[in-house]
Amino acid sequence: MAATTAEAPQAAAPRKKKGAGTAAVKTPWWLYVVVAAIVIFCLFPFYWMINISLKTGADLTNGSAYPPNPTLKNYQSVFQNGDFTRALLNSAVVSVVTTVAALTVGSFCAYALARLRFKGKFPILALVLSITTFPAIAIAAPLFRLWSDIGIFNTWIGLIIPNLTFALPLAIYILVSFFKEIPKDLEEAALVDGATYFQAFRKVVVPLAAPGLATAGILTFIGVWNEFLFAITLTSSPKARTVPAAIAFFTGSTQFERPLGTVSAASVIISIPLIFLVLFFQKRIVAGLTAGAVKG
Amino acid sequence: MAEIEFDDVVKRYPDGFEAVKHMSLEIRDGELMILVGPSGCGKSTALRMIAGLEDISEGDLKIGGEVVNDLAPKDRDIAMVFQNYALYPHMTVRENMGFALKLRKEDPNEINRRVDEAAKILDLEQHLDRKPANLSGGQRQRVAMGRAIVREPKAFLMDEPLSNLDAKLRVEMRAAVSRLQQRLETTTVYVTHDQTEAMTLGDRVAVMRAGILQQVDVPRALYDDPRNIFVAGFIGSPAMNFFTGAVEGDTIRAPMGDIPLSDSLRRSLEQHGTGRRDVIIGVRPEDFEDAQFAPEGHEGWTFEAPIELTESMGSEIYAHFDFEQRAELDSEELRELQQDAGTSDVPQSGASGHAVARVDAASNVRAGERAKLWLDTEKIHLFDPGTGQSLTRASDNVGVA
Repeated sequence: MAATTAEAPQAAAPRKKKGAGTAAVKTPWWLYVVVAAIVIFCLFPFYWMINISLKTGADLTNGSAYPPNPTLKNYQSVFQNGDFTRALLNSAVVSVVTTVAALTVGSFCAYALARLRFKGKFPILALVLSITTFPAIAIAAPLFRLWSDIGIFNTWIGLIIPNLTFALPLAIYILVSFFKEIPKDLEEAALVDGATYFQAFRKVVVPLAAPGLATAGILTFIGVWNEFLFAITLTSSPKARTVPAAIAFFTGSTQFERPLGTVSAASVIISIPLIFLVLFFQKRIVAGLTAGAVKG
Repeated sequence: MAEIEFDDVVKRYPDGFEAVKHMSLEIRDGELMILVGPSGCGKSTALRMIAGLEDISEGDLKIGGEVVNDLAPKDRDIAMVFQNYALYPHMTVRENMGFALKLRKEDPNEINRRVDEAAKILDLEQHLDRKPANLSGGQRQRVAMGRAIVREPKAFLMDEPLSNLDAKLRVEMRAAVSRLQQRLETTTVYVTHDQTEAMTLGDRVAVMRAGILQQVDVPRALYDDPRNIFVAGFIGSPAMNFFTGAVEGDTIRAPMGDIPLSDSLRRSLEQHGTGRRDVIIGVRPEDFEDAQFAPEGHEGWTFEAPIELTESMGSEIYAHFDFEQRAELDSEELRELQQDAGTSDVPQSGASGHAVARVDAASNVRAGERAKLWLDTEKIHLFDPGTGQSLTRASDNVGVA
């Protein structure tokens, strides 16, 4: 905290001239090459997906690096496909509900684990974390049977529950570390100021843990949005099928045609919300909100 | 406004450690009471019990005559200033100060009026819309005070509120706290480990050690008439010098020589029986003087001492001198005092056979030379080496601890 305030005036000061005084660390040329290679490696598949999504017919398989006759026909046909639009809704509902539930329940759990003194805290945290290492495939088949028996197979809630199971431990783990960072004095100040324990939590702790909540929220949302295994196992119709599963059911106009163009277009469409989400919350995640709380 | 009363209060942690032991203390309405002691003495725990942040294991805590043991902090109507200020970083200064009122669902106009008023008193008006992160240490400290005073609570609790400020600002804020308290006339409990703060601020000062209240009195009385060796050593800077010695008839056998026993001391001593007894002799640095400058009309005694070091303060000189301890000075209280002062730069005396005398600025004592020093025999304190209790306390409740 002290460091940030101390550095601020330095950053504002005019930049030193090149070669002046202190030995400036020179970035070697090969570093630029390596960074560029990594960036291309990461972004190329995405570019290729966009490339294909703008092609139709014979162009699809010609392997050219750019669409010779760019067209939005694939996008049109994807949105005319009722199964896909329904899948978008399913995905949105399942992801949002899971994220909200994970953050709500997760923040309560994390707060207790971070603040309260009780026996067996460490085993509980270890148990919670061990769930994330559990292979989802191991429970997919049993869940399929169970969900069929109790009647939540092929429903939103049938997808939300298993997703939540895997999202919660991660959310708890992230939030515990953020809650631990918040000075205890702040809560005590709120209590003395006349807040109930819950008010102190909601009005002081939660706003200060906002970067943690954003981080946990984004990771949960991305995880659920992209989730495929449960989506394909626990649904049987477009009624509850989420986008990743729905795309797998795309068909070409004939059984010999591959639906490459529409699959690419759909993939681009579902990538967009994630990109915006990360860009939007990036600042919040980075910002250190607790600066100035205590002495500093 | 209200009085606060500790009635035989005990704080016991689950591991059996007693942070506060059978504390009974009455803090009067409108009084500024200082809890002072070395770190770990239980003073902060006592304060947090008033706030309701710590449970009370035994005994009763009353605020305004009402037992509040089981009352949640929010229902006690007490404001607290934390050592690190604990400002809400996501709120502006105005929101910080108005938070408690907002929780009480006060009228927003009324909240604004009171925040403005407090900001005026504390000279924070131009900072009301800033966040704590953009304030200096002193400003943050004032916001923390402001957050307490807008509430017009029954009492203020302050937990070392000035310890994070630099020395100069601390002196200024000390005066500000004092003025503020006099102006508002709100009962205040102020915790500090700094005896100077305690002496200058408090209406009364409660000295604590190891969870036990040692002495509660006005600052002057603590200074002149410490009940035991701990209070004597803790209050005053530079600290009181301690020598091992014995009383035999009309003389005090001290490492520096035989000091004649003054009449008043003899009278106090007689309450504890007559005959030879071992004692710990306590002399404050200011009760020494260069023999040349010895004040007239005071009973005194002159001796010669090797000066080891002199520190000139401008208005006075601290002359450090060595002496041979007659016996090993072994007192738990003194050991704790030294431990506590370990990091401080206050000249320490005591078991090391080393003492500090404050002499006149015009004195020409020099390090490495022997000098004639005078000491005021009326002002000598004698303590029982076993119990640490004062044998020369003027008031009649000697031995009642």
